[in-house]
Amino acid sequence: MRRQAVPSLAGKVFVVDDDKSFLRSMDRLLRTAGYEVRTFISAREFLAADRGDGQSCLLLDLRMPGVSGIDLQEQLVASGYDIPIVFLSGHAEFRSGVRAMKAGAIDFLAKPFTETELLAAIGKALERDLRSRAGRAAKQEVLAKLARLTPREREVCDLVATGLLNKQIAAELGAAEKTIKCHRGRVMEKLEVGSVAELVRLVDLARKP
Amino acid sequence: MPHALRRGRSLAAAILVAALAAAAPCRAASAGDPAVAASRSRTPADDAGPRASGGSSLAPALAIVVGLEAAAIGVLLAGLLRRRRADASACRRLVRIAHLSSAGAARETGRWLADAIGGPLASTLNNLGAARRLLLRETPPLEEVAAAVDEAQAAGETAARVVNQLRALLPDRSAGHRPVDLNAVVREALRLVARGRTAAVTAALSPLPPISGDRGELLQVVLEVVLNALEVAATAGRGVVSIRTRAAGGSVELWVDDSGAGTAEEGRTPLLTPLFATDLMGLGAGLAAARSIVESYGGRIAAESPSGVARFRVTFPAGTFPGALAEAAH
Repeated sequence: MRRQAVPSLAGKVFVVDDDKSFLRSMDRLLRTAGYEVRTFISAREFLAADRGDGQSCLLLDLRMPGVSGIDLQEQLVASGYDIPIVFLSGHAEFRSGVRAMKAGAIDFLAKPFTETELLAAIGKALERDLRSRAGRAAKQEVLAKLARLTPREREVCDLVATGLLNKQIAAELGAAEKTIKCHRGRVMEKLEVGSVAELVRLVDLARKP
Repeated sequence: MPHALRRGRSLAAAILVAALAAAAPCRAASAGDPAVAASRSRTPADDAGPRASGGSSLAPALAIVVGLEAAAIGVLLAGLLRRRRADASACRRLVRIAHLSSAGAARETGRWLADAIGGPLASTLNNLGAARRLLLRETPPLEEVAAAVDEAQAAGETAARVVNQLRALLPDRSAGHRPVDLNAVVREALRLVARGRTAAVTAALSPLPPISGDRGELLQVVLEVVLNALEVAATAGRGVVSIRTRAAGGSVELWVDDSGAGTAEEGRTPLLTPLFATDLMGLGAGLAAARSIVESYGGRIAAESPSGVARFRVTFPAGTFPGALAEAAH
């Protein structure tokens, strides 16, 4: 039962390549291996499609007529569509490879590749997608919490996060220490944090790109 | 791949031969033969001879003249030596450039091949992988398996077609083959390498029956082997290269011996294999190309080390050309 492992991570695998026979073979293999697969004959077709919102990764042919794999990657990055990309290529084009990796590609497979290499690359890509999705979800949650604060509370929150004491914040904002203490309590309550350390972590997360 | 490599090699040989031919006037001026160099530099001294015996009262003036002549000879000799060293390195550089450009041609062919075959091969592997997974299911869906195998086969056939197309693109080399006198080729090669020669060369050429081949390709083979021997002899610092040709049974043999370090036992095979590390030095690829040509003629190229010399023995089958011997020997 060698090589019969169920994929460790479920997800959708998009494949973009201008070779129909290759697309059919990828569809057959990845479906058999337990993935949900969608194939596209061109970058344009991929861009036009409704790709849904689930966990996914993209296997992308480097050299295609019209919009090339690198072009598509650049368009996706520019449009903020964050999807892990594994590049496929007829031969290892070093320069393009370096460029693609710098732009965030997960891996680079030269055709022909083995099943093990392919599944490992997909596994890595889906894992990356899982992590970045978790990261994005966490950030959304934090931003939602911060949105609950009043402008004044937000000011106090940011100053607490820089490590200032109530007395210093009061001086900074020209308010009574007692008032600041009151604001601070509400901030902790709205953000659902129990300590200054937790608050700092949360504010940091919100600032991350 | 040897075919593709050879194709690139003919181009490289053309570049090499053209470059060496272009430099021919210089070659004559500084011919590698030490006797020529000596006789040329002796001329001014000879001129001084009769004058010296002309009048004994002019002894001090004569001494100055002779001194000046001697200085001039010295300068000339130094210049000559310097030029010969430069020629040797220029020759090596040419060989290297020729090798590199042939490596470039091989790289291009390889790239094209990888591109054209990689896709279909990936399809084949994907389909076989899928078929295997399907077969290992508790109740294998045999129709799906058959479909996967069909596609694997179709993609494999696509790859096979690419290989056949490539083969068809390669010209049939034997079409342009003519009776060639190997001795004439050896003499031409010696003229070409004379300029950059870094070691003494002796040649013993016996009368040979013609062989069937392309003169340019044969010249390339001889050049590769001789240049290699010269390079090795020069590196070893004991420069003697001896070249022999002889007819043996139905074949024609070329022996190139150098008294340098020889071809190490373990280094023998790699030296003749394409893409061996010395490619960058040029010689590995050159000898591999030579072998590829020789083998396409039904011949053999072998490296041997009998008692302290390194020998390349190149064997060609003698061609059968009724009445062509006289023409080829010309």
